[in-house]
Amino acid sequence: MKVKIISLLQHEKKLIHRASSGKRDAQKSLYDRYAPRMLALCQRYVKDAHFAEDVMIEGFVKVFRNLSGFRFEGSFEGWVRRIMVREAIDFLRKRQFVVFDNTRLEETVGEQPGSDPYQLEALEQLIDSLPEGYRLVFTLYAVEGYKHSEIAEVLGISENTSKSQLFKARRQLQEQLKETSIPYYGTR
Amino acid sequence: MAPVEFEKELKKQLRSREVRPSAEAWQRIASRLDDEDPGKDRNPRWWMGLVAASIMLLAALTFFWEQREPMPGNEPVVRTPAAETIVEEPGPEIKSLDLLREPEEAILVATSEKEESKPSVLREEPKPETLQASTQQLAEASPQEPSLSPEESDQIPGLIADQMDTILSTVVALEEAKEPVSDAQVEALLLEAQQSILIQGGTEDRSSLDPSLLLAQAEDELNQTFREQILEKLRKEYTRIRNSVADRNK
Repeated sequence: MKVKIISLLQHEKKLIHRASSGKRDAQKSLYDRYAPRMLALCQRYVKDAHFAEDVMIEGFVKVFRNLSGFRFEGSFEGWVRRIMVREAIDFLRKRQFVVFDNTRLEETVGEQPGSDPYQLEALEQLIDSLPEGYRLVFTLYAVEGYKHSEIAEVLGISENTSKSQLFKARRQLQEQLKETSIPYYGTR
Repeated sequence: MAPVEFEKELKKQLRSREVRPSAEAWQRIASRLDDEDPGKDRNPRWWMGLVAASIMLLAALTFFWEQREPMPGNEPVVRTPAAETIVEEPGPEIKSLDLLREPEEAILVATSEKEESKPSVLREEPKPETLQASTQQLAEASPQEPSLSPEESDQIPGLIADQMDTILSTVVALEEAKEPVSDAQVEALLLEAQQSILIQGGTEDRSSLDPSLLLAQAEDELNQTFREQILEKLRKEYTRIRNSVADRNK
């Protein structure tokens, strides 16, 4: 198993080197490998499917353009994900979609999740029902693994705002899970 | 379930989620990369550098070429406008008449008269550009104005006295020969004496030695007042002597 992983990584490294030198077939291989996950990531930030794909395309252009800057210090996927997240947030910021306020958009609450609280679709719906600021901070923190300092830098907010937005997002998710009689989120 | 565990599960599930992009997504990326391929950019950058270097070289050459331009005094082009500046010749008689009407004016005002004579000559010129060029060339080519130098000032009274002797002897000879001496004859003798003084005084030589025709004419123009002053002196001297002779004869 370990040997297989090492072999895959070495193969990926070769692919990255070739893609970095402009080999289109290598770039296509990397794209085929990561595009589906990157599009899912973009759709978590940009709800419109067409816009999300535009963001992903722009992100991949930047990935291939800056591939020589990748130092193999972390995972390649993590590096690509960060580029995609920044691209998505830039897209939202340009269209002024990001509003960090305390307004609760009850009307945006979608269909309640089913009996299985861990069903992916149900969870995504719950997260999508969060106000934009809560959702962004929650996704960056809980899904992408960003620290508050990084979230503050990416979103152009203070660390305290990031913390408060995360707290409110968690509390709202808790309430929604309770209402749906799902085994709940628990308390801290 | 604790929130951290819930979020871990959520993270795992969401990060592994996949959405297949549309078929043309890769084509769009490839076409963007074709347009912005850094490998293709290198050549234009190289050419831009070459063009910039060429422009700088040209600018430097132009600068040095301008530095090597000949001195204004040595330019052969100056001769062209000089031909057009010969307009002043009819001027002297009017000027001398003016001077006759104002006999009290001293020779020492030569400098100021020269300055006034310049614009009067200039007014006669049809082309202001030529004028400007000639005056500019004058200023560059002859920094010293042809005023009375100390040596000339010393020489001139002696020359005038000599010439006066010559004129008087000529007039006396004519009178002795019972020929009527007209004013025109006296004027002619005075003009002749003036030319002689100028030549002997070195003023004419100075102008004739000048290699540039323009410069000679320009100096002529500026010397005009000087000549008139000599003529005026001759006239006054002649009148004084003639009067004194007439008084004595009475």
